[in-house]
Amino acid sequence: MLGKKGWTMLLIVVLASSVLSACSGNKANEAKGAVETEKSEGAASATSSAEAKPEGDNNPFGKIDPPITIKSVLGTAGWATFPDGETWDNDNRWTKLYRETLGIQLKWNWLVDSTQYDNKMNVSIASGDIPDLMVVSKKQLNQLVEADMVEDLTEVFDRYAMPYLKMQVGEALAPAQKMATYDGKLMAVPQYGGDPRDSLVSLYIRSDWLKKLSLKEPTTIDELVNVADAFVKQDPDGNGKPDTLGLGILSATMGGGSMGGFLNGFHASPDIWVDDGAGQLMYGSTTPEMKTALGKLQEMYKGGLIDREFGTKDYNRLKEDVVSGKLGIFYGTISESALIAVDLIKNDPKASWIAVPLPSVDGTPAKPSVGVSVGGFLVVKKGFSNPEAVVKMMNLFIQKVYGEDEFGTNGDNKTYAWVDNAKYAMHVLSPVQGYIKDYNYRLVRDALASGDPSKLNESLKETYDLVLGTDGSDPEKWQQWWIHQPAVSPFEVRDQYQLQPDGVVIDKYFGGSTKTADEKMSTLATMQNETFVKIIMNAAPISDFDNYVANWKKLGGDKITQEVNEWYASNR
Amino acid sequence: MFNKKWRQESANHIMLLPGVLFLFLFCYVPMFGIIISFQKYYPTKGFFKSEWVGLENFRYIFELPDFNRVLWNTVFIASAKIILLLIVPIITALLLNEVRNVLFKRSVQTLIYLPYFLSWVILAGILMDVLSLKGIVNQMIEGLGMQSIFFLGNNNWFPWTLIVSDTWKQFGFDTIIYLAALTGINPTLYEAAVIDGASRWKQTLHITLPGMAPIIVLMLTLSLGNVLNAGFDQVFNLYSPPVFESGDIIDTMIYRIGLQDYQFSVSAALGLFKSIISFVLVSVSYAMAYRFANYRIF
Amino acid sequence: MIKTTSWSRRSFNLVNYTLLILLSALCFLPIVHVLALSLSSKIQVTAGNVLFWPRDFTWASYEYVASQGQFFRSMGITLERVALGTVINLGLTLLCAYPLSKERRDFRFRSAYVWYFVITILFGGGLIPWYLTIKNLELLNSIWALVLPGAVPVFNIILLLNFFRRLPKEMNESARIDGAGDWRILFSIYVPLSMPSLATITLFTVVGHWNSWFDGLLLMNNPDRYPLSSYLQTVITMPDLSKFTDPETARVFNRISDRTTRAAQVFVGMLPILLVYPFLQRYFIHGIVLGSVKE
Repeated sequence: MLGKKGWTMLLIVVLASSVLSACSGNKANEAKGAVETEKSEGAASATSSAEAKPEGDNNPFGKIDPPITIKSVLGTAGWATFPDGETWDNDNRWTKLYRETLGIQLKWNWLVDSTQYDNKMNVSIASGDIPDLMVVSKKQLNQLVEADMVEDLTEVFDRYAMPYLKMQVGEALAPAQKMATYDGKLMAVPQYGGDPRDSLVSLYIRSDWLKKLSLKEPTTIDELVNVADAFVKQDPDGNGKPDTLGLGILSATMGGGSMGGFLNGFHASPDIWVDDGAGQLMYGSTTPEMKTALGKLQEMYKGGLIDREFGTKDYNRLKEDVVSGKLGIFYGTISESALIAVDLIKNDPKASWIAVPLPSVDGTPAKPSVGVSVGGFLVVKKGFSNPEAVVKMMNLFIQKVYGEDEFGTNGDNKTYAWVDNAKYAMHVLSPVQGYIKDYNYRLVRDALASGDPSKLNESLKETYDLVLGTDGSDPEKWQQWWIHQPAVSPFEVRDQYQLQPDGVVIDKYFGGSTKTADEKMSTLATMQNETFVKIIMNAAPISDFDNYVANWKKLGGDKITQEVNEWYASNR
Repeated sequence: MFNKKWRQESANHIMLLPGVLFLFLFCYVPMFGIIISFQKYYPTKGFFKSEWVGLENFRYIFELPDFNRVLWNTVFIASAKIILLLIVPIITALLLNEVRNVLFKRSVQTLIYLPYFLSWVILAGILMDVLSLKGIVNQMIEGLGMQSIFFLGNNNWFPWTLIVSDTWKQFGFDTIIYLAALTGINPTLYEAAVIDGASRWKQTLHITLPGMAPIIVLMLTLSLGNVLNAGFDQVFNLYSPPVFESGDIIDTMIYRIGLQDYQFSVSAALGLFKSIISFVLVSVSYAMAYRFANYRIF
Repeated sequence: MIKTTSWSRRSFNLVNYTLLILLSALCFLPIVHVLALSLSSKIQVTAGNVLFWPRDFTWASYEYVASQGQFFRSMGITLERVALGTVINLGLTLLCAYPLSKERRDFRFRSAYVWYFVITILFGGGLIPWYLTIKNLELLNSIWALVLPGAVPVFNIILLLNFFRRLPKEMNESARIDGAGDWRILFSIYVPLSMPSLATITLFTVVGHWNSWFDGLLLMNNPDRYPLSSYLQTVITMPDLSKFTDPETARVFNRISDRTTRAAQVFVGMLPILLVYPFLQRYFIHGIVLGSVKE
C-alpha cells in the first residue's frame, strides 16, 4: 500500500541524506521529536507568513480542539523493524505526534500485511465497513467516488495544505493531484510519488573497463555498440575467458535495467502517451522510431552484444550479472546506485562506475521518457466530521520527512523516517504518507563545491560530512560518496535533464484507465512485450513490428487513443 | 421396517451431521458469490445492487484474442502433469515396496517428499540457475557432445520444463498415498502366490496393482478436476515473454488482465467455467467407473 | 522369505536401489543448495557463487527471520492451530469417512451425502463471500478463523473412505453380530486397522496447517496474530522481486529481503515434516505387521 513510487521517493531521501551515524538513542530521539514539534508549529506560521498569514483555524498544523478520534487502517510490512517499545499498533512516535500536534487520536480498524492490503480493503468495502481515513488504489477510488462514499476535499485542501505542498502541487506533483480530481473536485489526497521525472534512466558503465580498453564514454548509439562489442570481445575483466556480456537489458520497456533508455536513444518513448505534433496524443510504443530501435537491438543480439538469454532474464539475474562482474553496461535509474553497484563494489573493490546521459542515434540529444504513477490515494469517509485532518496529517508527514521548504527546514527524517542509520523505517507507521520532490542532492552537491555547509539542515550536514570524510574506498560509504561526485553521478545526470525545460518526455495522459484500456490494455501490452522480445531475439522478423502496430490498432488501440484524446481535450 | 431401517442408519446421520453443517456454513453459504459471474460486480455496490450483465463476462473471456492458445496451453500442460503425476508416484511406490531395508525405505520416502515444501518462488530461482544456458544441466548436455538447450526460452522445451519440474516437486506427496494403499493389501495373497511359485513381477502385476487400483482410479478422477489448473504459481514464476506462446495459461492471463474495475466478476466467471468443466469430468468418470466396472469411486 | 535370493532378484535390487538413490539425490540436492544459500552471505549468493556449500558462512538470515518477538508469538499460534486443527480435521474425517464408506444397501443416503461433499471441492464462491461469511460468524481475528472454515477436509475424507472400504468386511459383520454399534465398529475396529492411512492423513493435515498462510494474512486483523507461515510470508516472500513491473520498488525491498532469507524460510517451513514424519512412518510399516498377524 505504500505505493511503489512512494518507496522510491523515500529511498531517494535516504540516499541523499542518510549517513552512517551512531544511534542517538530512542529516548533522545523522542525527546527531540517533542521539542521539534513545538518548534515546528511556530516555524510553520513563520514560513507561511511570507504569504497570507493563515488565521487561527487555517493553520496547516493547527491542533484540532477538542481532540478527535480517527478510525483508520494500516498496511504493515514484515521486513520493517522498530526500536524497542514501538510497534505497528501501539502508541508509537507517529501516533504520539499526531495526537500531540494535531489533536488526532488514531484507532485501527485493522492492520494487514501490505501484500494483502488491496484484498482486505476490497472485502472491507464489500462488507460496508470502511474506516474514516484510508488509503485506496486508483480503481477503488473510482468506485468510491462513483458510489459517493468519500468526502470532497477541495476546500479543506485549499484552506489547510501547507505552502510548500501547494507549491509542489503546482509543479512537480500536478499530475498526481489531477489523478485525484474528479470533475474539478479533489476527492482524495494522493500519496504523490514525487516528480515523475525522478525515475528517468541514465546509462551506467564500468569506467575501469572503459579505461582498460581505452574507450571513451559513448554519446551516440554507434559508440555504445562499440563499447558493448569491446566489453564482449576484448576481455575487460582480464580473466582470459570470454565470459563478459555486452549491453544488459531486460524485456521491460520502462524503468531501471530495461531497454527503455536504449529506445529513448532513438527518440522513441515506449509505453506512454506523447504529443504527435498536431495536438493529439499517440501511443509511444507504436512509432516508426521504435521499429528502428528494435532493429538495432536485433542486430546487436545477432552479433552477440546482448545476452543470448536476454528475454528470460529478470531483474535479479541482471543484478547477478553485474555483481559477479560480467556485465558492465546497462540503463538504470538513480536507485541502481544503491542496489546494483554497491553490491559489486563490495565484491570487487577495483570496480568503478560512471553514469552518463543517454546516447543518441543522431545529432539530436536523446530525452528519457517517464510515466506518471501514484501509489495510493488517501480518502475520508463521507460524513466524517473533520475531513481537514487528512490534509493536516499530510502537512505534518511532509514536514517531518522532507521539511517545510526545499532546504528541508524543520525536517526530521532521522526521527520520523529512517532512524538509526536507516535500521528502522519509522515512516511506515503513519497512516498518511506523501512523497514529494526533494532537492537534497543539489543542496549537498553545492555545499561540497563551495565548501560551505551552512545552508544544510542537520541530516544533510551529516551526509556532507560523510562524503568529505571518505575517498570511496570504504564499501559501506562508497555509495554516498559516489552519488555526490558530479562527474560520475546518476543524480547529476538526472539533475541536468531536469534543469532543461523540456529535457524529459513525460506521459501526457494521467487520467487513469479508460473504459477500453481497462478491458484491452493488458492484452495489448502482452502482445507488445512478446513481439518486441521475439524481434530482438531474432525469433521474429522486424517486419512483425508492422503487424503488431496493425493489431494493436485493431484490437482496441484505436479506441483507446480516441478515449485518451477526449480526456486530453478537456484536461490539457 | 421403515422405522427399523431409519434406526439402523441413524448413527450414520449423526456422524455426518457436524461435517454437513460445517460445509454448509463455510462452503455452501459463500457459494452465493457465484452470482457475481453474471454481474458487473463492484464492492461498493454489493451483491444485490451491482448491474446484471448475463453472460457478458464469459463472452469477454472467450473473446480475448489469445484465448484459444491459452486454453490449449492450459489443457496440454495440465493433462501431461496429471498423467505423469499418476505414473511416477505409482512406480516409485512399487519400487519402494520392493525395498527390504527399512531405514533405506524411510529415508527415500522422506527425501522425495522434501521438494513439496519448496515454494515456486524459490524453486524458480534454482531452476533459472540450473537450466540456464550456462547452468549445470546444459554443461552436462554439452559434455555429452549435444547442443545446449534453452529450457526456459524455447517454446518446444518450455512446457516440458513446467511439466517435469512440477512432477518432480509433487510426486513425493502422491507416493505417500500409494504407499499407504500398499499396506492395505492382504499379505496372505502374497503368501499364496509365493506358494504357487509366482515371481515378484507376476505378484506385482496380479496382486499389488489390482490392490492399488481403487486408489489409483480415485486419484485419477480427482485430478481430472484440475484439467484447467496448469499451476499458476509455477508458470507465473518461470515464464517470460519469449515463451508466452507455449507457457501462458488461463490463470496467468486473467491475472495479467487484472481488470481495472470489475476484475471480480471476470475471475468469478472464469472460476465458474473451470468448476463446471471439472464437475463434468469428475461426474463422467464416476459414472463410467460405475457403469463399466460396477465400482463407485467415492 | 522362502526362496533364496536369486541372481535376477539381486540384479533387480541393484538397479532398484540405484534408481531410488538417484531419485533421492535429485530431490535432496536442491534442498542442500537452498540450505547453502540460507547460510551464505548475500553478496556471494547474488554473485551466483553458492552451490552446495555455504560461502562466507553466516547465520544472518536465520537471525533476521527469528529476530523479532513476533517469530515466537507466531510459532505459538501455529502450534495452537496445528494441534486444534489436526484434532478437528481428523475427528471429522473419521466421522464422515465411516458412514460414507458403507455400501448403499447399508446406508441409503450415502450417495447424496458424498456428492454434497464432493461439490464443495469443485465449486467455490470466491474471496469476498468467503470473507464475509467468516466475518458475519464473528470469527475474524481468532484462532477459530484458521481452524473452522477448513474443518472438513473433503479430499482426505474421500481418501479415507476408500481405505475403509478395503478393510475386510467379515470383521465388520462379526462385530455387528456381537452387538457392536457403528460407533464401536469405527473406533475399535476401523481405526486400529487403518493406522497407515490415518498416519498419511495426519501428515497431510499437519503439513497443511503448518504451511497455509493466506487465510492468516486476511483473517487476522493484526500482524500480532499471524501464524508462523503468514509471518514468514510477510518477512520474506512479500515482494516477488522478479515480477515487479516497476523494478525500482524491487530495489528497495531487495536491500532488505533476499534469496538468502527466503531460503531460510524454506527450512523453517520444513521443520514439522522433519520432526513429525519419522514418527509417523512407524505406522506405515506397522499396518502390514498387524495385518499379517491377524491371519
